Amino acid sequence: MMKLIVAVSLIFLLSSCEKDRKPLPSGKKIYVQVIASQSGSGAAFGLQGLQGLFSAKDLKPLLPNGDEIVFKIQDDSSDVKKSQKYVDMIDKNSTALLTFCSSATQLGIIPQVQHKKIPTLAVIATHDDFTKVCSYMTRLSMSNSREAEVSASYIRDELLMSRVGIIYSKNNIYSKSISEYFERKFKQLDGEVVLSRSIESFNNKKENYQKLIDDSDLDIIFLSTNALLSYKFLKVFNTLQTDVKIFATDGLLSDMHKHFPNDMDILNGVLTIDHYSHSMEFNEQSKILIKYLKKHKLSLNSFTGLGYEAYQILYDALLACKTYNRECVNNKLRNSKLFDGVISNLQTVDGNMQRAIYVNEIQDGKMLRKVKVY
Amino acid sequence: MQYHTKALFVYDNEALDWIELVKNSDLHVKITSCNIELFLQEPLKYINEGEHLIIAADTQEIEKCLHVAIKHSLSIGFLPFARQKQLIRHYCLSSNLQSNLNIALLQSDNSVDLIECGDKIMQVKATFGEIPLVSNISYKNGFFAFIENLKRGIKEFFKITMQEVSITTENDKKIKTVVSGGSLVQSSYKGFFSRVSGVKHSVRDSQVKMILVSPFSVIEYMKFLFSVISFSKNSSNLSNAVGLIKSKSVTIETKRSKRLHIDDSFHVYLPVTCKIIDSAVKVSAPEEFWEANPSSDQNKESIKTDNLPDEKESERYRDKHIPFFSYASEEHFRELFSALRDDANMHSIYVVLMLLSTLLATIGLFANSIAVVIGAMLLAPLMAPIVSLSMGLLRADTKLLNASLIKISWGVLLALGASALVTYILPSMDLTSEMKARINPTVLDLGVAIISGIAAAYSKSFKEIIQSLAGVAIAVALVPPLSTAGIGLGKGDMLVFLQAFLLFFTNLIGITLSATLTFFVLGYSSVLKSKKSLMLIMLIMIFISFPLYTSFHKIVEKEQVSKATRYERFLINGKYIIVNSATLRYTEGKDVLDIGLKVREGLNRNDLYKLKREIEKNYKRQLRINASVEYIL
Repeated sequence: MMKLIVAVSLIFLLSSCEKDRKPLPSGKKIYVQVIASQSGSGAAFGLQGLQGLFSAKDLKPLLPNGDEIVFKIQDDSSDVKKSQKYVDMIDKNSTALLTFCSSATQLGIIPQVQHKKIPTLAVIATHDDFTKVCSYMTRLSMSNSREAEVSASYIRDELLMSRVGIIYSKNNIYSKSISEYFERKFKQLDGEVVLSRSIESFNNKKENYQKLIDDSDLDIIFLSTNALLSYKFLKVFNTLQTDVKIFATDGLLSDMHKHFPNDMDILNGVLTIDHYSHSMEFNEQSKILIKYLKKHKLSLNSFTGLGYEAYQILYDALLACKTYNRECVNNKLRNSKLFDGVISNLQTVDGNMQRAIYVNEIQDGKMLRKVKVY
Repeated sequence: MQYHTKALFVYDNEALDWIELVKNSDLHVKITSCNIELFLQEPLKYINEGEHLIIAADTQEIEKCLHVAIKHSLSIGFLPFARQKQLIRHYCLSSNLQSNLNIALLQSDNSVDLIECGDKIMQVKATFGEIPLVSNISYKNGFFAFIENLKRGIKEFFKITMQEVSITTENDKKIKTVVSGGSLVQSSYKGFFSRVSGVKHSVRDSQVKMILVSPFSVIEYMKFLFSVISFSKNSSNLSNAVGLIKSKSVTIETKRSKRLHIDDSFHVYLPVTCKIIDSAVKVSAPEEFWEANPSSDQNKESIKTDNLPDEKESERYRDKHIPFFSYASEEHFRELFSALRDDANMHSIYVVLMLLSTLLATIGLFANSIAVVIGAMLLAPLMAPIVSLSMGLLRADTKLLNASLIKISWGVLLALGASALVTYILPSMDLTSEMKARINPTVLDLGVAIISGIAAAYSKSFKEIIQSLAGVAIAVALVPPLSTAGIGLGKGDMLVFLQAFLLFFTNLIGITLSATLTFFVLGYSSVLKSKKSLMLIMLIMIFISFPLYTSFHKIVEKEQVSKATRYERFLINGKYIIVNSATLRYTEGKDVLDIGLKVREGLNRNDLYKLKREIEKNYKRQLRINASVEYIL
């Protein structure tokens, strides 16, 4: 009987060993250019994104055939011109380009990418247009139009609110673009956009905001401004006598963490959209990454998750193209198979990522899931 | 209160500083002082017969003084050092010198008994062998000393070894048994000895009192410790694993222990005879001490050794480490084992009840009536053979195992046949929600099975528990799925049969294993066959682990689906779709998702097609989806 138990145990052990077999290095290297904003206004997402990318590489350093992906990192300091210069400098040895930059940068490098015909994976940028205009670009994040559509639908059909005010920043392309998408969609849903004004026009005066609340009978405000302007607005807004809710665009929490870490309380109760939620169910991939990050005293957030997923999709594309030919890699990036990301199941179709996103409510510096939208 | 008019203060070097204070006492007592070494050399040089001694010395020197006091009829009072916690506690003194001095000078007509072991005199306790956390208790102060003591004691739990011991009383009665250790204790009615023995004792009852500790397992030893801590003064029960001997004298002989440790300070070699010195010495002590130690003339010899192993059992335990869980011999639980053997045998009542309960359950399931199904559970006689099966498994008792397996198998066949027959006779009826619940089990179903198995084994172990209650709990887990399986057979629907039967079988295994484990924890495994039976259980576990895992995995998956869907929304062709509820089930070999949706605008074919694709992408499999749609106005 003892022999039987030992035999069964051995079978279990051997089958688990098989699973963990690691490839041996072949010596061949696949070069991938990376442009990341490590300073300037985009530093928060650039640095966190790179953490996710390198975590993924540490966990899976080689392709199954032993070839290694080597990243050549350049910091564009959140400057479009620098990014353009770096794309110009890409040589024939590089197989692909990863960018951890804003939408403005991504739009700015379209001519260079098109000219070089280099498959480009935009990890952070959310603008709708670059994947339409440039056939060598793939977007890993949700698009502005998708974010606006989900926001409007959630407000209209889940919260059953019909009167919305839109506050945007007139000097911010992203803010204006997403606000326009939102307004269009909300109206389509028979909602009423009571006002649409730039934040600058309020001069950050309490009486101006109070007048807005008193006159317009608002249910909710859609706020698409950056962290600094949102901070100033919420500081004043939270002192008003009102139960009007705030719905903010993505990335606000991360930016606030970077710029105003001691004032996170002002975000309590704000609804927002993100790829990530602190209360989401973690899949096997996210559990592996969380364990790794914890070991290195880091934590999982939206941008580290995106960085990790960028490695996954690039890895799969390279795996599918045996000679690492740029055209093949580009096709595999733009039309991927369905795979388990850190945050949800992912698949690219014509360069656009199809993924679930979360509507969260911020409480005590954490985004708590309200709903997950596919 | 009357004080002595004169006294001799005997001290060791540690008490040098106290001489002035003692001499200048304001109680008008004439006090002379003397170093204890000089006093012990020539006591009568310093004091006359019948006079009073005040002692400030360590325990070994006190013991020598006691010899002198007994010999020359001296009365004594104590000035203990702060570290002498045991002495302070025993005589109800305090750590305040002045207060102790006032007590030590009191005239007292009351004497205490002392125990003489060999040539040594014991005041408080004497121990041999291993009684962790009792015999080696430290009287050091502080939290860290307590933790250190506790850690050491717990480590020793796992090293407790039983040894043969022989005790002979004054009336020449000889007790032979195996124990981990024993202790002679001079205890007040509030003290340790009274708590363990459940009888009030006193240091003035003219008896040597001895406890023998014989735990069959670490768990039992823990229970004993718990009784030491928690026994109320009014309890009259003798703690488990403990024997009690009261006599004028006891002679202790052991095979392994060489020494009897006295008052944590000195020892005598075994074998030794310990005898009472009745009213040995007059002691100055507070009123509280005399109240806690009333004099007693009920000093008949008493021996209570029912909880100790007899000579036959002693053979098994001698010179062995005690196991974590207890073992039991059949002789020890004769009644229980004979009841279990009866339960494993087939008889007509079982057949009739099994048939009636299944018929009732089948009709209840068709009527979709929980009340009728519960009625069926009250009749079901499944508990008895399952409990016998568990015990047979634990003790690797092939006879019991076979008999109970045969009885269960007959019961299952009868139940399947009866419910299939009812289904065949009844006009064609659809599956009711009660039946569907049995082919789509949840985690809670397995929970019911496991807990009812524990309850069954537990209730079988104690006569005072009404066993039918646990029987109903078992029936909850077994009768409805079994009847549903029979309905599947009757309908010719093998999928319903297999799914319901899988639930029945999983629950049966869950109940049996949890009952087996409960019997194991309660100490019913056989000392001889336990390893063999554990192997058997392990083997069964390995063989059933795959179907159990598959079944459990499906259960967990269903729970996850219904939990996750509470937050899931779909944006399809610009239409926002709220998932209100979702239940995953397995019918006709396919995964079926019943989904409740809420929308604000109508869904067309294309929307539904895309929604299905999105859902399938999310669950990574093909599904049959039944959706019901509600409109939000």
